[in-house]
Amino acid sequence: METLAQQLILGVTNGMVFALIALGYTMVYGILELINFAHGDLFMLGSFLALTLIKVFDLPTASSATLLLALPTIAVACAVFGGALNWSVDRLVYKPLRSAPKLAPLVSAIGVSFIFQNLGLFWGGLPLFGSAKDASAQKDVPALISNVNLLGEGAHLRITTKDLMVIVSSVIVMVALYVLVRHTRLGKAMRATAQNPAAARLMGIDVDRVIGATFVIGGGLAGIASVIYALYINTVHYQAGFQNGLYAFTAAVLGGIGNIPGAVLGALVIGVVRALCSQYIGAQWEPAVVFGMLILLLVFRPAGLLGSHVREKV
Amino acid sequence: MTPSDEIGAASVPSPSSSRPSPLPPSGRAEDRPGEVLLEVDKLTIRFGGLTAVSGVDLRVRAGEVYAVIGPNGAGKTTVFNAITGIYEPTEGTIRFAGRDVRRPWKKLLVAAWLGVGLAVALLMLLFASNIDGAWTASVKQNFRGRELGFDPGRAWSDAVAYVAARPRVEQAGGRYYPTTHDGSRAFGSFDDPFPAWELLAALEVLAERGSEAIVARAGGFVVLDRDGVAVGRPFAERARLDELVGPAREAAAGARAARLTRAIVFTLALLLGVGGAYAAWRQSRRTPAWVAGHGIARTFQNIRLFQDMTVLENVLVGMDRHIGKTAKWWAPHRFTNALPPVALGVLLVGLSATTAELDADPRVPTALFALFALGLVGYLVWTALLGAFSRRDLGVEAEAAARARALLAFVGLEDRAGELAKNLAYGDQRRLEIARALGTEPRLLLLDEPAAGMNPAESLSLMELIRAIRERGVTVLLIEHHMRVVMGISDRISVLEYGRKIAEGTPEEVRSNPKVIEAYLGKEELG
Repeated sequence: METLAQQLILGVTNGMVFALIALGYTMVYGILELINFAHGDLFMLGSFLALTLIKVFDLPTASSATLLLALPTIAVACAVFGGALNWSVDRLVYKPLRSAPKLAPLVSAIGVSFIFQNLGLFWGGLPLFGSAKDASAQKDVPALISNVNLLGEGAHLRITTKDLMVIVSSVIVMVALYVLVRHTRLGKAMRATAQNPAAARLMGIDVDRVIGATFVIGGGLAGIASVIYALYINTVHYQAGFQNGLYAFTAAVLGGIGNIPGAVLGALVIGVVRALCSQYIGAQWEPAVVFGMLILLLVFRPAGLLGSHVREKV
Repeated sequence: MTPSDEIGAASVPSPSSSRPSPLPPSGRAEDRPGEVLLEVDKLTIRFGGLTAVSGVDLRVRAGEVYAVIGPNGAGKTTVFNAITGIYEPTEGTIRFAGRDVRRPWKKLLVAAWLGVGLAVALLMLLFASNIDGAWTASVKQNFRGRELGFDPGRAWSDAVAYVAARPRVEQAGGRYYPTTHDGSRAFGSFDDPFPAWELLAALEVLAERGSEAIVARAGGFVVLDRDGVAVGRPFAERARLDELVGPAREAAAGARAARLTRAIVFTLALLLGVGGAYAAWRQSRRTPAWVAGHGIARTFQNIRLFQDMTVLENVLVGMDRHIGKTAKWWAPHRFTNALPPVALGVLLVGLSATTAELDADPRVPTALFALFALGLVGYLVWTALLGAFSRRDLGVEAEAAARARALLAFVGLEDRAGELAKNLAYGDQRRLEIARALGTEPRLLLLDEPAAGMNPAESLSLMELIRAIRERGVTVLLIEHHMRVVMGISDRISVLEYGRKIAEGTPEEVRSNPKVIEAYLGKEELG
């Protein structure tokens, strides 16, 4: 029973990180019907920035009070970085292809993904991280957040400060996103553009600006996720974006791509399934179980858990 | 009064079931009835080789209901798409309230901005580097005493050297003068161009890298640069070299400063030029969003609602860009509202940093503190964001909701406000689309087949609605196939066939026009 509860905690914590990345996939898909394959690698670059900032400001030697001030600042910096990068990619790569067949921006997204991975490889080779020969090696992020059990070291169940950090900060970000999308002018414009761009234009909405805003928000979420991930997993690797991006993308599809609550739900499901699988079946079966589940779901419910069937537009 | 009508209640009298209820007065300027509002002139639209519309003229006057009719494929919707900026007219103009609605061509525009920017930048560069000097250096100099006469290539490189503040050789009266960027001839003159060029090369290197030492070498004295490389040919006299190196250093420093200034001027002027041209274009561009923002609203032949948003939200989307425009992001209240939570956050972080050293072990207090701090940070970020981004405090949100509900009452949908648009009945969806279009405060409303698929009773109430819209001061231009609707409400009618206008006039005139009868019923074959 305790193992089950423990795995559930682990799954939810992991799922939260996936959810933040999945939101970026699902928001862009919702508005452009484009799968932004570069999104996972954007997340990876964000975690490199987080690690760089941690090293430059020498945070491992800082006091808790300083950390409390510095970590949110780093999160904001990474969010700004992610948002700006994502916006630039949209402007430079996707926007010129807006009226091209859907395959063109998709293939470009894969290209951007490779560029980002190589940037990550280059970044990892900077003198700051040791010798250039280790560019492709995994980089360790100093453990800045304590890993002590909040329930006391003797307790059977472990909930650490880290888990709490991940869950609380993700929930804050998600609630903020929910309010933005539900209750602001920009949110209304985003939903209107996603549902009917032609009509949105004629309501006076500058569709290009709304799309840009969506990329900024998606990139910002990936930036925040990258900081949380770096502090939680404590490693950074230039291919981390690929693996996590794949799971996050799966989560977005599982929940119903284009659907914002669906992405969070899908991510939590994947997090929990992975955790349970590694406990009861075996860690090497994780991908098989997760993607098998995806296939089954798509067979029986092609629109995903919360997605609605898209009617053919007349 | 219906229970759902709380916010709009103050301004909206109870809606009767048949008559649309009046609306609160809108903020837009009223049109004087009778003046030409929309002027379509020789509009031609071609798609590849296919001509959809050719040479259509329309004059819609303020306050009238104007109908465009014609068989399917006559180009009616294409005309609508051109008016709302979705299609670019191939030829002809569309003027709305005296302004051209045509959407400019984008690639040409980008080139134009760059061109304007470059022109401004080059002009500023010339001013910064003295027009007269540049003219002398590049043109006059080349005509003076040169055996081969004027050489455009030489003139160009001289001009570039002048603008780039590089030293050059000038000739006057058969003598050659190494000259610095500001025209100073502090290095004497030569009979022969060759030593002058040699010195020039030395000056250039000095200007770039600075000199380190003067040393004796075989054949004379030579200047070494910082890398220890000899610059130029050896000089016979040490004194002559000393005499030259000082001014050369000064000239190099001056040239560097001049180059930097010119580069800054050029960059700023380029940015300013491109930015200015872009801003000017933004002021005048005619995208569909611009058209919607300047008083033209439309509905679509196949209903295009935001299906997964509520009825009220649909209207609010239309309204959002037209209400509360004054609340820019830099409005002062956004900062003053966000100030208290931000100040509180800074204060708390400062306090915790100064009072407690939290590294000491006690587990539970640390955890509680972390939880508390995260919650607090979240709450503060939350309130700061709300203060900065919400329009609630302006009353704009409430005003918009009230107006939206009033509009829904106007079209008779006041008790469906909370439902999703896709759950409405077909006729109600059409009404909602009209309400949404009215939310953008239009002066001209374009209705594309509003009565399509309606039963006779629905058509009648639609005619009522269109009359009420006209009474509200909104001019209506509609496409319609239902002749009862068209003949019942239109002041004037244009008939299109195969992209051409074949008739125009009052309903009676159009009804009896033989061409129109032919287009609709076919030609009578005689004999």
